[in-house]
Amino acid sequence: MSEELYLQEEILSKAKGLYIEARKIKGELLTGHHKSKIKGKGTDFVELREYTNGDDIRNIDWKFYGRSEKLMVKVKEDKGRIDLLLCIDDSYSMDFGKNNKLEYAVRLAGTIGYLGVSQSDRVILKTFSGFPEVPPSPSKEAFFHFFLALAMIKPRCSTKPLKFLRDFEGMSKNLKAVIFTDMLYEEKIDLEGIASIEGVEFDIIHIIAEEEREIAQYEGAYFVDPESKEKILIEPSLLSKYYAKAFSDWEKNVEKAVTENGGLYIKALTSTPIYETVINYLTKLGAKR
Amino acid sequence: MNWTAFYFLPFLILPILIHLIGKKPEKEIKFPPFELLKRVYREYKWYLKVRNLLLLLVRMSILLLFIISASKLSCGISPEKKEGVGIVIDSSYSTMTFDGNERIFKKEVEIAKEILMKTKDAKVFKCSDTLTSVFIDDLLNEKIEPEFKSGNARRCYEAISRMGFSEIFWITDGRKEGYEGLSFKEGMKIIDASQGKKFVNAWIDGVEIKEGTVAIHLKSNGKTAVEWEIKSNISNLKGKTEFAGEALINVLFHSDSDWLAIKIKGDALDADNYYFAGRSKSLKKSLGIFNFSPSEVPHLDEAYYLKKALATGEGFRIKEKVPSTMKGDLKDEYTFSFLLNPLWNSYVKELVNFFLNMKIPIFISAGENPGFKEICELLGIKIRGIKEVESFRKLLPNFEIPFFSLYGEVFDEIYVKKLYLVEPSKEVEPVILLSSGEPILFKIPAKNVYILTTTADLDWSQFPIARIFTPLMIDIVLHSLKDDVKEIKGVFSEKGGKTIVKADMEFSAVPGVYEKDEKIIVANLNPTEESLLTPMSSVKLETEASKRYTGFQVWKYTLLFTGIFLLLESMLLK
Repeated sequence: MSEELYLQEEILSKAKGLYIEARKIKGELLTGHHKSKIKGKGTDFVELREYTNGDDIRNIDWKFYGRSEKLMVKVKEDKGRIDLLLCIDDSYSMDFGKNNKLEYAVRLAGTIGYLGVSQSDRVILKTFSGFPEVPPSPSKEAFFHFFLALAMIKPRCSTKPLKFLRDFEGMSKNLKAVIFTDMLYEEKIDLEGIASIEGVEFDIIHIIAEEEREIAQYEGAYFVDPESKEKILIEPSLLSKYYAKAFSDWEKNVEKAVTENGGLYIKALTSTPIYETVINYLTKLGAKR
Repeated sequence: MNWTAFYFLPFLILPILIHLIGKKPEKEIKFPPFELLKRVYREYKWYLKVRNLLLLLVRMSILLLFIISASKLSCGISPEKKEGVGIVIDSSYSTMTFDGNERIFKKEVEIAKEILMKTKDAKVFKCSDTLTSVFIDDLLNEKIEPEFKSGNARRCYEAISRMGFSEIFWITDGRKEGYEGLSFKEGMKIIDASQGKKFVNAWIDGVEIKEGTVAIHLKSNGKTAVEWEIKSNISNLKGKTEFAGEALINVLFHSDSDWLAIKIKGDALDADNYYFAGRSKSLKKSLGIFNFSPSEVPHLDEAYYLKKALATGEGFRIKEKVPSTMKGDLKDEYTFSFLLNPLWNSYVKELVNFFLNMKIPIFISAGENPGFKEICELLGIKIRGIKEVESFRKLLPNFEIPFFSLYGEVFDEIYVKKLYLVEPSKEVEPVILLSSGEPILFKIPAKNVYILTTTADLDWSQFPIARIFTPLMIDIVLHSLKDDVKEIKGVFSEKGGKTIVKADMEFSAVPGVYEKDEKIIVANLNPTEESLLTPMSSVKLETEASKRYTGFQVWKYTLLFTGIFLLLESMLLK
């Protein structure tokens, strides 16, 4: 996957004037845009944290370094900036569809990530499997690493999803987790748990391939679970109607669960152009031109 | 029924095998919403099982119904007569021939019964020169007999083919008259009751009368047995022998005999052919050779001659077939004169006088033409008038013909409306008397004349053209030869050896082959061509009889249901 894939001019031009913003900060629901549109560093010091690769060296607390020889970064609250955590479901179930779900998710994450960086948000990329590890991309310069990481994402055996979100608890006041997933897990995503993490708001971009919705096309084939490899033989033509309804109900249930837990639900069909999904997402966030 | 179709019953297991084995897919789809799909599958598993079971049952039913349809299964009684089966029994005279100890006709009847039992719904006919319906009960009780007629299968087939039977079983003895002219087509089965046998034929190759001996040369194409009877005015010899190839019967012949009649009968001898020959010793001429073979003089041909005679007033001679062994100048000398409803003119008068002078037997039937009364006058018979009668049978409640071989029942079909009343006289010897005493047939012995007091005109009577006419004529001719007989000894020799045969004195009036006077006037018994048909085996016969779709045609409905089930199957598949 190349950088061009994620940053198509069409997408960028259409997204121009739209911003990624937190829907709530510290428990307050915001309906508007960022508190501050000032791009750059914040002013209110909050805490020190360990330096990680990619952190702006200008934020290093050199005094602290002089005392303890530990590189610590001053974390300052920037009321106009958010930490954008892009979580991509890289489980095997995402590797499906003529328009591959994972690829779609990656492109979507790339686009949204770019938009985030463009508005001086700190963009953090995480996958469900934990690979590859990517440092936060607070600047456009470091964003190159972000794209490299995106290019390296491939289907992997999933670990316990989203456990890492706990690590962010208290680290950021404006953490926005955008989760790109098909919601197909053996172990369900703990939406309630995510919602309970202080300072984290989450958006679920539900990636669905059209081919998942209709099974009649798979006449004469075994159905195999991509995760467990279990397989069954059914007659798709007979169950098609019932399955379609069950899938539709499931979609609604997922949306309901996300919404009830305070998340934002976006349904993203892989057949839908990326820019449409992005615009749909940004629009739902409440961004205005 | 076509039982072959049921051989496919094991194929019913095919749908089960297909369901069990099924088509194993080669593809595998890694399907992310697998759990969801599995849940749906579990939820609707019962539905799938019921549907698959239904599909299995429907498919098996389709096969079963199709097999039943192919078998053309029928049961019960046919709602439409057209769907029935016609069974035709060849009843021509040749079917009286023996095959072993059993007449071919009896075999035919047995076959007909067998078919009848298999098909349940059938109509039975017998066929000689015309087609006659037979009561099922008569068939089952074997109360039907062959007829004294030749076969005319073509005409009978034309009659039965118009009746619209879906299948016709034609049971014949294999002689060509019994099946010739049939349209061989689907739905027409010809059964050879003789099972394709080439019957052994025997015939009289020649008769030689020498001083004190009569030598009868017999020939046959196989081993056979013959009964022979040689009758003269003073003797009656009977014997039986078996031979193969050639045989010679030598019979002592008393030189005082005025005439000699020879009758030979046997299983191998074709009963179709009866010949009579007579010769006047005093006139040194043939008195009459009377060929009344029913098969050679078909009933309708006979009627034709009678009609011709009625129209022209001429007598006619029946000489349809000259026996092959007749010797030279005898061929044209045989005659028996018929004057049926004769005209009266100088020619007829001269003819009658000629017959009387020549002692040639004359048969005269009454009619409206003046010839009958004139001839009666010439013969010294007085006619009292014409009587209108209602029914011949009614007038003959206790019908008896003492010296005839014919039974009273055969006269049942005769009807008489008018007859001449004859004045009784010493000259007249009644042969058949009505209950009222009037003779319907009488004889003038002194003149060798037989008179029938009714006519062959449907306004009067159909007596002379009825089927009993031929055997009656035979009886009349034989009756004309009747005389006292005495016992003599006979000698039988089969080439190389001699056997003394003791004759009995039983008088026989059964039609046969006779000779009169010293001349050889014996006829060939005409070895006929035997069965050229391929016999139908009993197994095949059963198959054919069983597969006839008579009665309630189940198969039509199963075919309909096959279609419905196919539709159901396609619906289940959808």
